[in-house]
Amino acid sequence: MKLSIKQCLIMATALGLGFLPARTWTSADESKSFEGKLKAYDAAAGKVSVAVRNGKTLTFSIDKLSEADRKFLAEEAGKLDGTAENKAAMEEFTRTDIGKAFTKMQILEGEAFAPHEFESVPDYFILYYSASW
Amino acid sequence: MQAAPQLVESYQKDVVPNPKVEMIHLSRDRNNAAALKWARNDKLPWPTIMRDQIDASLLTHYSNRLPTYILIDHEGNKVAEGKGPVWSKLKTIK
Repeated sequence: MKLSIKQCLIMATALGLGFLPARTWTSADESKSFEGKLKAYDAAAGKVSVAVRNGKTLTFSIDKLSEADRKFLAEEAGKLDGTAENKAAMEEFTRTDIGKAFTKMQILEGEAFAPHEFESVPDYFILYYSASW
Repeated sequence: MQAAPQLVESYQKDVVPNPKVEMIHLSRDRNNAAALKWARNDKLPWPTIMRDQIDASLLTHYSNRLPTYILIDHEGNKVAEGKGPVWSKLKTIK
């Protein structure tokens, strides 16, 4: 199944947040607060899910949260968007002729060569043709 | 025809800190053991592609001279050729 970049972004944003520590969440009017762990955030739908102490998960609109909480969500989504974008760019690059040529890279690890791949797609490559002799 | 320590130093100084550029060694050694021996001896820090893999890809079309430096963009277009021009261009890529 191939996913579009937009689908990847939504999935990463929705699924990738479960390991963040618990934090204090505050209502939009700042009259209430509660402790909870961010479990999921769907930026496209404007919905957030927070796991609270009794084991339940609350899902609600981000409009109900304080400005600071909304800023926190935007920052977390931004981090994940970057990761998903990077992954999508890598997948696209490895389908190009030049990208395919770089799928056989190796790098010295200790005393042996090990497979190597780019962490992100560089804009430029220096091709260094040489030999040991 | 081995990499001078200066090349490793230039790579660490000019390529490693720049996320927009990577240098890939295209080994023209006829056997992988020779390439590995060189990499071990000189502690080559860059990624390498072995000769048989180069010959099976479009990377063989850029040059048949050794040693050669070719700067290409991510679409495979040649931007500069030769160590001096490549490093000059590299320093403009921010």
